[in-house]
Amino acid sequence: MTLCGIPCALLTCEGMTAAGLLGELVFEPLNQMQGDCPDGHALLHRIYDRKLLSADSSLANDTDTLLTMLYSGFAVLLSEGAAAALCFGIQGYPARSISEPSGELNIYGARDGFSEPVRVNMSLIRRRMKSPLLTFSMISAGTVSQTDLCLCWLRDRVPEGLIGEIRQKLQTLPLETVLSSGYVRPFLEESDMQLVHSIGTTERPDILCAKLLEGRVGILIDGTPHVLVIPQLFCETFQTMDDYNYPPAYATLLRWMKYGAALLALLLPAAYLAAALWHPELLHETLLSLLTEAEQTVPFSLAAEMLGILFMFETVREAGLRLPKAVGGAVGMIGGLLIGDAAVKSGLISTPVLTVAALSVTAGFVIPEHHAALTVLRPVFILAAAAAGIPGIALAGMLLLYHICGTEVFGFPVSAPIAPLMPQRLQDILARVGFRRLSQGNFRVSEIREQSEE
Amino acid sequence: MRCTVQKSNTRRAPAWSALQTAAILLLCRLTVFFCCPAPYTAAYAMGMLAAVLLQAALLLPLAKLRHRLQIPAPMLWIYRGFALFLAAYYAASGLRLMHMLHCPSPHLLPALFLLTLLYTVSRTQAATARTAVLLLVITAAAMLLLPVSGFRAAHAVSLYLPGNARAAFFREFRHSGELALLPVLLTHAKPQEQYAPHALTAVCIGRAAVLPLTVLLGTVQNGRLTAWEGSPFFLLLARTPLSDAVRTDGFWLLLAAGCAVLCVTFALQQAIPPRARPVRAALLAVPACAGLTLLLSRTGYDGTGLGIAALLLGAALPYACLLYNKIKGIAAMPRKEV
Amino acid sequence: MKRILICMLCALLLTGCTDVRTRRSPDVLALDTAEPTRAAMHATQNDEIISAGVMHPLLFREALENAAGAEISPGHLSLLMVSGNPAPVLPELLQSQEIAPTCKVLYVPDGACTLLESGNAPETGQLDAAVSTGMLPLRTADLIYGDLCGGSGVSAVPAWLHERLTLMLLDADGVQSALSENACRGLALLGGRFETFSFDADGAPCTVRSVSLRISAAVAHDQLCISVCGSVRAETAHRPAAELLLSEMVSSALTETAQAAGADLLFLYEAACKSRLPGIRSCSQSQWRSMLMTAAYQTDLRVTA
Repeated sequence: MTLCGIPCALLTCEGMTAAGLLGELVFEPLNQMQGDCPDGHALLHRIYDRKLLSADSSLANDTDTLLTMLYSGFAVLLSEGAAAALCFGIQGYPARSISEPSGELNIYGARDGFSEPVRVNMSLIRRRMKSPLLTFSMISAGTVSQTDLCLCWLRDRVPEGLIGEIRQKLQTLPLETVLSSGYVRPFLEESDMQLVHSIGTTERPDILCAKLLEGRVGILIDGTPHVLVIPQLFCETFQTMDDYNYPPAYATLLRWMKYGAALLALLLPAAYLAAALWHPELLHETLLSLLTEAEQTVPFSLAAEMLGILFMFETVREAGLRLPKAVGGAVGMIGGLLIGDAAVKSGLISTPVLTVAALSVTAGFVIPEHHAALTVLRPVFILAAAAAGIPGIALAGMLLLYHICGTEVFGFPVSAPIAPLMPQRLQDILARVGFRRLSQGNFRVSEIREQSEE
Repeated sequence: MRCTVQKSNTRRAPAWSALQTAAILLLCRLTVFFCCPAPYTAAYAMGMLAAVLLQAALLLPLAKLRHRLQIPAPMLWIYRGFALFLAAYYAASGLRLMHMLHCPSPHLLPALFLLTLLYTVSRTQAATARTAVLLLVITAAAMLLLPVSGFRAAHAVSLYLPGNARAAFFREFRHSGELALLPVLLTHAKPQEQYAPHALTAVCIGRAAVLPLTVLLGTVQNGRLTAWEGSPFFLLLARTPLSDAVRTDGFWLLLAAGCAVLCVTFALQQAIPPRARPVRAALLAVPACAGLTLLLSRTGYDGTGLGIAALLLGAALPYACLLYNKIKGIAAMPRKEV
Repeated sequence: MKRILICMLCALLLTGCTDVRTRRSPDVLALDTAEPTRAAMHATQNDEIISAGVMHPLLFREALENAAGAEISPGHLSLLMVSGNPAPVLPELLQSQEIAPTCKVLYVPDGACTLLESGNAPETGQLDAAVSTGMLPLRTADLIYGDLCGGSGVSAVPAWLHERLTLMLLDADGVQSALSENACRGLALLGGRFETFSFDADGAPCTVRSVSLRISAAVAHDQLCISVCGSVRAETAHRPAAELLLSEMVSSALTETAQAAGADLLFLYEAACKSRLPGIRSCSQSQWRSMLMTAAYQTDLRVTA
């Protein structure tokens, strides 16, 4: 087209722009332009200075930026003789609507969750935090994909230097593409081999806002609804938004139930094995008789039996997750029949071992955040117990404790506020105290950050 | 020569807090306490208390002198050698406890213990400190339940059984090797003024209160069983009504083994120079410790030499360093206000 | 990945070294320490009695495992029946943790193994009932061993004599005399571990609820004096008769144990140490035993409602 006597071209990426907005916000104002411009450069500046009705407009001074903007859904106006291009933010690509996140269900909390487009997520946060101190900063990651990452934080709460450190790590990501939060997280954490994550994820804007208020940093990644939160403390993985909606007594009971469930999930099979194999005096006589009787027909050792059952549980669980919903129900039925009935009746496994394994796996579902770690650690504890009894469990437990206590990210130890011990911060760990008390001493993550001594 | 702060293998090397220092020192003492076969009598408690009070008198001045305490590099190597020996002593004590309690897999257990140490020693000292706090919290909670669980079956008149307070006094010194490392610990802890007094006070109060009271509880609980060859602490547990119902000695076995790992790790980490690469240093230190442990186990070593060395290193050497620094004109560490 | 799988396989092979299926857990163990030495046990799993001859009483486990063809796990042992001389065997069994400190012990004069095999052995419940009704004091392995180590080196062990439960005195040389029923009840009263202590006081039933007794020692005219005084809270219609009977029980207990045999079953030595009697702390077990046998004993009991 010709605008003010200058040949121009408008570039869009098919399916990425909103056709209605293109006509209303770009073509119409452009067609109404009158007069002549001396060259393309002047034309672009005239359009830019007059601020066409668009949420975003920027100048692209090089081809890379131009292409990035084009593939991000911007409409790009090229003008003959101009060394830059004008980009209009009229994205209209299809995106999933805001819905409740399936992985973080709550009864009393909000029903909206993050979506794939990063700007939609930014608006969800901005709606909840109308503070001028809320800051967003965009970074591009992935040498090929040029995925948008958005750092968000509250300026007056984030510890000094943290944003710079995170930004420096994100800008040097050696990735070609960033398709999910799992791509970025390992590069921010201190080690690939961490069982306990020091960087959390959330799909809920309300949870992210609560974390931002404590001085944490959120990383929104374009293309995934999972937002990274730095740092995440180990104790917080047992907390949900509903805890702060229930009465304190009930919420405290739920917390302790979760702590107990975590211990059961990890230690119950190992403790059972240790007692049955090496320390039978720890079991009640009746239980010991039941166990011995039940094991009479089983051809395998207790340890092999326990590991086999846990493997079967994980197989059925994974199959149920991956299969289409129409078929997934059948997996549950087959799994229940196979494991629950046929295997026991045929004498391949015994009922006490099946019960213990089922209790352990069910307890693990109470804290989904730790499901992966529990699945990996359970066999380790089982092998340790079967090899050396209670001392074996103690050794494995010390390995895990050291791992948790040694995990930190950007100077934040994940074992805080238990280790290092901060008694005044335990009120939200050991119990869920009322809001009147919680609001008196607001927690900031800067309190737990440990600096090096020179 | 100034003593530099130990850096961890992460970019940040956090300093220990007072509670962390106190926790590790108390747990070291508790571990040896669990393993000690000396029978529980009131005289044992009195001798222990007297020794703790004397140790407090010797150590508390270190709190005031902390900022002037610059340990020269050659003397640091003496501390490191002592720490290696201390680690072997803890390992031998722990394995002896497992043997006394007839733990399973007597040949496999030391191997698993070594493998565990290879991992824990290669972690940072901050991890050791935090783990110590966690373990101390769990141990303290469990020890609070002891009097409640054992009270019903007590024979208070057993407190009048005669015993050897003098032997208990010297035994307390033999079992307090970890206090010798205090001068080194104070140098890489937080520089705030209150740190050292808080840490030392917590250690002294913990040792003065918890251990003698536990011995007294064991005295009334164990009664006349003074010829017991195993651990009297576990005898105390085996005879409590709660243990009869719920078998809490399984939990204490778990805790004792965990404390043993922690103490050996702590001592080995003190034996490793600060600039050494953690994994490589662990691969050297752990086998060396294993060799010494084997030697100590075979010779039935009771810790007398260790106690004497601890007294010298903990009480005499820091003051010798102060004098040396004064002669050489070495300046004190900068103080930092809170 | 291959290395991890191999490590896990090796680790798995190290496990399961004890077979749960064939393990036997006895609840009663019988040992004949006199020649011919034998051992027998009652296995709870299949309610069978397994017996075997042993070279030495402390090698019972290996012998029974050979006889049973299965591993023995004595962690749930609740009753140890011994014949012969239990004094050298009991400490070893306790120290090696073959029996729990709270395991009950029963002396059988005429062959413990034979009694167990015949099926006429008393149940553990009978011993528990005797303790809870105040017929016998609580005498577990640790208490018996404690009295052998400390005090005067004389202990008391429950015994199955003439098809009746009683107490017999035990020292390093073996079992000595049996105690009368009054002495047994007196010891049970002084021990305080009963739940209901009932007796007939001149035709009127008497039930003791609680006991608060104090044992003290003193030296008078170069003679050791042991006095037991205190109050007994009881429900009775005939208080004087009850007081008389209870005093008789306590006196019998003191007379038949401490005075007759020098047995210190009531922490008398500790009471003497508490009273700071001269020379007590340095006296040996045999000296203390002699002192007990020449001591004077006083009892002063009051029955309150």
